[in-house]
Amino acid sequence: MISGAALASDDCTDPTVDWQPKERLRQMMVDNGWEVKRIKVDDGCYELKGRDRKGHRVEAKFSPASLRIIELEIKFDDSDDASDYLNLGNQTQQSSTSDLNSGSNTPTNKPKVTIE
Amino acid sequence: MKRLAITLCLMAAALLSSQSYARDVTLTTELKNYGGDGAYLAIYLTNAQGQYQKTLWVAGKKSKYYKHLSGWARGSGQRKSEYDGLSGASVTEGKTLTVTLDLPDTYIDAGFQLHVDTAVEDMRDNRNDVVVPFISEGVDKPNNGRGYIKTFTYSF
Repeated sequence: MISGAALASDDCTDPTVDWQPKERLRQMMVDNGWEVKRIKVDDGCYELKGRDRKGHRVEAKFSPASLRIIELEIKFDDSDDASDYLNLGNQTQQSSTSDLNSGSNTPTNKPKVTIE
Repeated sequence: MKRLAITLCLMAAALLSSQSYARDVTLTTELKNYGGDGAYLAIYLTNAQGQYQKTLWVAGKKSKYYKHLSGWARGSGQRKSEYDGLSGASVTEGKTLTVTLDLPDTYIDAGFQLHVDTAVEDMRDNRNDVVVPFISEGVDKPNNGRGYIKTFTYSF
């Protein structure tokens, strides 16, 4: 799927005049030990793809004005160490159930949805 | 009086026969381990001519990507009214999405088809990853997908 023009509401609403350069974000994360593969603009935010200091694949969103992190996704394999982020040991991940619906709906015919 | 009673009975019978019923339909979509980000899916019904009729579920929250679910996008016009309350999170590889909803009986054994379009960021889009007739005989029979879907099964 190729990213298209933004139709949805933007996640970040910083005025463009306040944006800091991508290069500053790149340097900030390199200083934190990350390998930065790509920074692009998505939904009005900076979206960064790369690897964290332990080599996990990461995808993070930053507010382009403050460079504050607002979303972080990390991929862990079975053997990976997540202690940088959480101290949950090998707890199994809870399956997300129900209430995945958002927005208004007719309550009489609201589908029940699970992803397991 | 007797005639009135018979007339009332006939009217009641006519009302009953014209009433349409709904039933719980469960749609189960298991994804392959395709090696990519969470998948967007659109599950929808078409008539026998392949014309879009109804959205059943859209997995994936960002509407800007909906155009990649091309069969559904064209049919529904991506109008929010078509999927309002019928959308949720995208589905990670290897996971199973289960959707249970009320559907009128009139869609069953009446030439309608269930379609699933799928798309994943930076990977190819699959219009009609699965297309199956919506018939009683198809209940609980797994159908293989040709894209990111491993199996698609419905029951009612």
